[in-house]
Amino acid sequence: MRLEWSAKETSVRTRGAAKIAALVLIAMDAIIYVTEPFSEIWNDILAKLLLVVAASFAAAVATLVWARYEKTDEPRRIWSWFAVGLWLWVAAELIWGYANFSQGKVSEGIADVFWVAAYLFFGQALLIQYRILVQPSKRGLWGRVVVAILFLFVLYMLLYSLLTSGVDAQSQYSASVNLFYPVADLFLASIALWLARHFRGGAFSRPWLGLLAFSFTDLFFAWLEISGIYSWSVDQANLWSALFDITYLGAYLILGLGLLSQWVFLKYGLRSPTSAH
Amino acid sequence: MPDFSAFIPETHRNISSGYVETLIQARREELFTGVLRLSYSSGENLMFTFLEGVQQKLYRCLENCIEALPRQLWFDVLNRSSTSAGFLPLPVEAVRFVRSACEAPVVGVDRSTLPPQEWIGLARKWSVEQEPSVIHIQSHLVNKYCLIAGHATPIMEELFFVGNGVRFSMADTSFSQTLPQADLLVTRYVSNREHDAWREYELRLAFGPLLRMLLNRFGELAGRALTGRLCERLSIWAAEGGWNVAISSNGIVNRHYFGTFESAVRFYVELIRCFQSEASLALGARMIDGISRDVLIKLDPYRRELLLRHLYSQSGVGGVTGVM
Repeated sequence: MRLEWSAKETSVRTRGAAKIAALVLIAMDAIIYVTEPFSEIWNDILAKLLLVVAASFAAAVATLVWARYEKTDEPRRIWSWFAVGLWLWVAAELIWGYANFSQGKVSEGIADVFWVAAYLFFGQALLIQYRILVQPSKRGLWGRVVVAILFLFVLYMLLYSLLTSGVDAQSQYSASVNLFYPVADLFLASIALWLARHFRGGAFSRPWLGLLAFSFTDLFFAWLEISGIYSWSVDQANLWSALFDITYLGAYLILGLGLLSQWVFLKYGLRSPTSAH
Repeated sequence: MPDFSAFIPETHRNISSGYVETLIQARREELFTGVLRLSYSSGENLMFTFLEGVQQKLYRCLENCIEALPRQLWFDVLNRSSTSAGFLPLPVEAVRFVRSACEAPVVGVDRSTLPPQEWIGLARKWSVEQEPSVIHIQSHLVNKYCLIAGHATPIMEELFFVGNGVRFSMADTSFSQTLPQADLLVTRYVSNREHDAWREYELRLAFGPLLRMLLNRFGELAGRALTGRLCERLSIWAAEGGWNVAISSNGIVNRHYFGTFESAVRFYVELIRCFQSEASLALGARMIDGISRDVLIKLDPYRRELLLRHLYSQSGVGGVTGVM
């Protein structure tokens, strides 16, 4: 009689259970948006809560990935920065959710501080991953960082001048913050694509594919926000707005599942069938 | 090569061919690893190498040359009386050394008597030359053989004859500094590196750094815990295949005796394939190919060419094109 699963079975079952849980969360979110089963307040609270749960899931798994590495392991540094970045996003989601619940439309403010700060941590994590992978010289590394920052700055200014011509000062400020996300996401997406391509076929490619999903949803949000389509409550949500909120939740879950895949591999991968967990 | 078997102490005299068979059977049963010498009144010496009780090779040692006898002749050459015999237990590394020293062809011999100071420079010169050599160093204090692969191979294997025993060691090419302060009779048997014995030896020495660097790089990307598990998987795979090697994050401890160069190549190719298939589960096949390419580029051109020619040119060992 078998008393326990093998490492491979545990790995498959863990990932399978996480996928089912993610689908259940998305289904719950979709039901809230489509059928509005509760009062307006509770629909809003539950939708925001699901988002916080998904963000916390991704951050918690990133922390677990960090903890799987030994103290002297280089990749541990990547995941420490990455996990902190994701916890900052959790904080941002909590603040934004509360503000949205209490005020309705949320202006750029304290939540954005956390979101923007998180990008610095992601940038640092990706920089370390790049250094481990490419092993560039110090000069070469700084050269590429400067070129990347210059490129992003030029792109940001270009988009800013295109989208803010003829709008009022408040809209200019709003656009300056909201444009940061797609530009930063473009940066993350290009590195995530590069990493996913390098790790193609391996368990380590999956977190970067999750990061890629975020870039698309943030671009989607930027478009909705600038075009004024986005609605700020579940009960008034239009199709595009609902679609964004669900895909945004999905992006967190895809990122979380990608991270979970790496964690499962670090914990159970490459074990011989007879070895203990 | 001179009669290499002369260093094996004699333990049995005037024995019959039947008793020789009994002695051989006893070595089989005790899983003996080492060499067995049979001397005949004609002056001919035969030398068997054993590995865990299994006879590997039979050499006929004449005054100035050694020849390996094919298996089908073993019965005929042993079927003689008036024999004396002797044994010398050796570690497996020394049995491999004996194979290289006995089978490598000799294309030239240099003899000189030197003080140790001059010998240091000479040894360094030979270690960077293209042709490999077997060196015999004698004085009243020392008697040892060394294998110098040439081409700046940093490792040198040595076989010391001490009393009735033998000590095997691996040293770097600065070995000569450890020799005693006495004039040395140094005989250099220049060999031909195209012979299978040298090719196997060179490939073994080149494969060690390759695998160590591959595992180091894997560890940098995937962490030490996963690297440890990868090494465990590779070691289990090798043990299941009957190969006497252990793999750790420090590289390979290769204690396997390869009877032929082809069998050694087959093993290394299979090990690389196994590494690639296991490691790519974590990092992806593309990354593993990239790691292999980077590691090969870091090796010196001679050993890189050796590994590419014998291992990476084999189908299914991954894409490392563009390294040359």
